[in-house]
Amino acid sequence: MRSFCAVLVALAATAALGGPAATGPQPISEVACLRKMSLDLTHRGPTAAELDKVKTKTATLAQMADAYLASQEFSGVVFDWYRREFPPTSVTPAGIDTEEPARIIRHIVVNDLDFREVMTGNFTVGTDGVASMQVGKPAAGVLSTRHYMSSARGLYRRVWAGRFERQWTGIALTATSIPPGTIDLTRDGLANNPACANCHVHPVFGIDALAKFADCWKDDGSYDGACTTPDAMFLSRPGKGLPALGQLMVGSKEWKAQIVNFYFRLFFGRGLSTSESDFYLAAAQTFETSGFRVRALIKHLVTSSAYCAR
Amino acid sequence: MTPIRQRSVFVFGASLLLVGCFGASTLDLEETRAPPVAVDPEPLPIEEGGPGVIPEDDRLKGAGGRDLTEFWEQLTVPYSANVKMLTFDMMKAEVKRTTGSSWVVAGTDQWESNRAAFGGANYTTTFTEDITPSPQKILLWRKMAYQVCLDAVVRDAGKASRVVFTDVDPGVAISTSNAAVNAQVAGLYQRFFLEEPTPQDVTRASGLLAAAFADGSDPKEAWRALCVGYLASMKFLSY
Repeated sequence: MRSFCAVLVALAATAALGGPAATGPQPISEVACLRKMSLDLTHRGPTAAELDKVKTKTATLAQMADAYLASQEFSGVVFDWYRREFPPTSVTPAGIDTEEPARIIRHIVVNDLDFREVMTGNFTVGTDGVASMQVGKPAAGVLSTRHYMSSARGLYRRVWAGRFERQWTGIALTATSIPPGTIDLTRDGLANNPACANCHVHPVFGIDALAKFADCWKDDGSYDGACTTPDAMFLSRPGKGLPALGQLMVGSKEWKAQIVNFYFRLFFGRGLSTSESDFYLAAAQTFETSGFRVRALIKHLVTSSAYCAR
Repeated sequence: MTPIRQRSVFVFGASLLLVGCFGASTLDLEETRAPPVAVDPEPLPIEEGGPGVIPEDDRLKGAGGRDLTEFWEQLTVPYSANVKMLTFDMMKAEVKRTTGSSWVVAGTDQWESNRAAFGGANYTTTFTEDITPSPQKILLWRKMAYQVCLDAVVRDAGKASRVVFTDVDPGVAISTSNAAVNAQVAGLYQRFFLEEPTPQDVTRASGLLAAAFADGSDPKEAWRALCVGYLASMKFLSY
């Protein structure tokens, strides 16, 4: 047993030290890259037939990416990505359809639709996969689903707004403890409090200014048709109601950067680095010139030299 | 890959394989990944001119001129730190691909009942994929590896038509001077890692096989040991 273990240790050491140089990631073989791509896009390794195609050069990695993106397995992978992105929370009301946002986005990605419809689309997708109009409320893609509007709320919808900022713009504000003493926690109260005003009413990222877009939505995620939508502002752009918020978002650089970063994180295991801004700009351009098709963005990422390296 | 990350991979890989040899029940693994970027509650650099660096490229300026990269990571080496661990679904599929069978004990498939232990989300009560290489996961992975490798060897031994051991019968005594044995070693490597082994890889693996065979004179156990070595390696568990 001792000799067996000694060789096993040697094997382990060889596998660990035989990797890339410490100076940076090194290119991996096409077959190794195919394994990465296959695992990421289908959650399984490549089949023998897929390996043969790459080994015999009868298919390029780009063609394999197209094949994976068109597969049924990819549809399931997308669904899981977004079930993780929109989980139920401790405040989610019982009986809410928590998978509705994931179904909408899967529909958009799998059918290669304009990804801006995630924020602006007027349809929903049933459990049978069939799309239909959202009714009884002003539609704004996943934003106007009951799950999205009920899974984070907070006083004056501040928790909802904080989540929205992190999720769709990458801006992360820090929640602070309320200092001792009496503090007026209303919107006007915090707007007039110098210690609080910046984060609450700032024209770019003000939490209360953003939360006003959701003022006519009830805690259970339904829409109050009798409510008058107030003036709101986010990213220095004014508007009223969720559809306006969705529209201003998809026209922003923040949203585009956040979508690219979301997919970068899926395939690289971490978010973009400031030292990779050139890579970001190229990916963002691909995304935009494709008509905001996520499949084009994914293909760009998984066929990049940065992806095929470790 | 940064030096720190490379070192952590080595520590993990070595630890993974040493667990069975020296009986350690726990592993002292350090998380070397940089902590999340600290969130600064101070005003963002906007039009009135707050602190911070405004990027020169307009395409990196957001609303009010704020730096889009403000909350991005700070890596010294671009494109490094891009190695990931297999998720639960990937583990299950890769074991099936390489060994040709699932993880079954007494006729019962073990994967679903170990979904949580391997960090898999069930989308009913858990919604995140935990890919942390925890001690529990490592030990469980080895337990799985020993089982599926045993099943693969037993299934193929003595058969004319074999699934994994296509070059030699795993039930036949091992001689490393037999070219078919070395071909099988290389074939296994390719099966698991999808690339050609180097001559050094083959030499080391053949050495393991010979040592394991000498240890107990059971060819099936020797092939099983090599299978476990590959299946439980960091090279297999990461991508």
